[in-house]
Amino acid sequence: MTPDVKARILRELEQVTWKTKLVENPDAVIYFGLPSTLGVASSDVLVLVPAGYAQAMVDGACLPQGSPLIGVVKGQPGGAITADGKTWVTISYHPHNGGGAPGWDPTRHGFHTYLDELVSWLSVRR
Amino acid sequence: MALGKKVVRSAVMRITGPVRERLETLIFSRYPEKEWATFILFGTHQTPDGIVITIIDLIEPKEGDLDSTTSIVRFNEPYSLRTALEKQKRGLCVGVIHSHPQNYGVFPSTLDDDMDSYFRDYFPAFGKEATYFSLIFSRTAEGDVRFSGRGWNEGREFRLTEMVTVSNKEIRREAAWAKSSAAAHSQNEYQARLEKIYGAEAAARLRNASVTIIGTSGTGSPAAHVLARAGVQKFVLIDPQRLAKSNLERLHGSYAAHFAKGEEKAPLKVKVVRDLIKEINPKANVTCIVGNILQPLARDHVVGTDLVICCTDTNHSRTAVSELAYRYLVPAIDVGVVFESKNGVMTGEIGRVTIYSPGAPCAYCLGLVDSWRATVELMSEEEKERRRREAKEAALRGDNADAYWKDVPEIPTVGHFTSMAGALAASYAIGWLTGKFAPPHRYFEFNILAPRFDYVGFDAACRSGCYCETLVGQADQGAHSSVISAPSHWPEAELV
Repeated sequence: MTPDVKARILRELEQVTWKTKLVENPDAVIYFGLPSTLGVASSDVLVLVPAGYAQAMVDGACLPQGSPLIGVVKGQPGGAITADGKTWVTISYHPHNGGGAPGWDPTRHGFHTYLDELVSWLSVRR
Repeated sequence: MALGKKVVRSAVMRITGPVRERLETLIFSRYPEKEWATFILFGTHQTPDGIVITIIDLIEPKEGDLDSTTSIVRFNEPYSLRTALEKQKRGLCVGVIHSHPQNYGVFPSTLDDDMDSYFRDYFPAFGKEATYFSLIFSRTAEGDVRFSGRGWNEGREFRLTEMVTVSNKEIRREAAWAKSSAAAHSQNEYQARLEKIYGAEAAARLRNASVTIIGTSGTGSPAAHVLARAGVQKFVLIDPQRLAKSNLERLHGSYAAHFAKGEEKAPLKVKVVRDLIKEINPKANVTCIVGNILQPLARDHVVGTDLVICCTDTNHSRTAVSELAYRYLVPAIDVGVVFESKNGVMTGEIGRVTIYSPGAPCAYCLGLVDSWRATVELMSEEEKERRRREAKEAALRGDNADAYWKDVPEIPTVGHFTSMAGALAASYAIGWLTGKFAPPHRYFEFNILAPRFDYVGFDAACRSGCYCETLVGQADQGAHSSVISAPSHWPEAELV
């Protein structure tokens, strides 16, 4: 992650009141304890930092391996990745690419606005 | 024990025309006998050789901030404290610009030394930015302005060598210590025609100009060609690719002989264009970067040039140059071409020119970035492959495959039109560098196959609150809102 990208993401995360963490290798943001209405009270969610951020759009999300939300939320489960000492399952969820959110605009959108997409995602059954 | 020699690095200052105008009105307001001053807010970019400082704004003195009972400059404490707090709050750098009386030189006096030794320790204590700069301006009765400047950053010392002023009408590069109206003498016979039309000063400005060309193929090579013939002597060329046989149709300076040892041993495009420039003007100074404008090495070189001509017609380059324009005060001319046909008949050969400058709308305000195309341009091959596979699986499930992957068709171009587009961009660069002429609009497009060329042009404004409005001049200190970065899977850029 370049220093510019790190500075930008940290600034974005300062704007959200939720507990978050920026991790490296793989570069990702973890949102802790996001509320859900789909049978669990809350869930951690990991979102990868795309190559070329912020022009490249934030896309997809990962749930902890074994999460009861896998297969319940929208999006196809994919491969597993390890980050921050845990295993996460990637979910093909694409809000800014035809998934209902506005077209990606890095002058307005970022990991702070992606939080809203994730909260909606965790509240709608597939 | 022998003492080491103190290393003083060079500094270039960039400032917008409107801020420069306000600055001179203010600091010369007590002329001819009395000095005056202002604090300034600025951003920085440190390069391996020196520093570029970008003036964001003046922190103008209010009544009582400066002692008006004396002819020299004396700062009152509330003014310094207000400036220091502003620095801390905004995470930027601050400095001082003051005038010397009319017809005086711009060499720092012992009083100036005292002031600077105080402020260069005082301001860094507020906030994390440690750079402090101090500049002196003076004006003769004839209106000639001279300036000098020096700066400090954590034990490093800088001397201002040049100032680049960027306005919508002109880009002016001036040397520190020199008179602004220093006589311009004809030096190149090949500039004689140009000098006859635009004057000796314009020809001299072109000789002193420094231009970056991003993408040195069909559009960038003719741009370089035209500028070299016009007298521009300093270039930064950026392109990652090697010459291919298909480039012979449009890349100025490429020849069949370049493939004598096979296509895989053909020269890099930047080297082909450098040779073209050097054949026209052996004295030209050409820096070649094999890489991309998003990479730090490229930025280190670009921020010292007067303007950028962007010839890649990609979403990421367009975004990068529009960000360079507002954050680093490096204006750009972005040029692209599109071809259209219907039933095998050409219906459109369309050129598009966009001017990016500080205070003008960015590529996002103008709606010129396709977010999917931009994302694909920056993706690794592995990710593209994975997404294509997921799209196929989604289609089999009956899901929307486009959410996973959409092909992005390449836009083919041909040499006769890219040459025209490159020459057009170069001509507007000449107009901007000399202050002699400007394009009709900051954005325009035209179709050379249509009656009246189907010309469409407009001058839009920034969207309220957009970074192109709020981050002007913030340079590296605006990194927290950077809209683009180089993907880590790209190979490192290198100088050749």
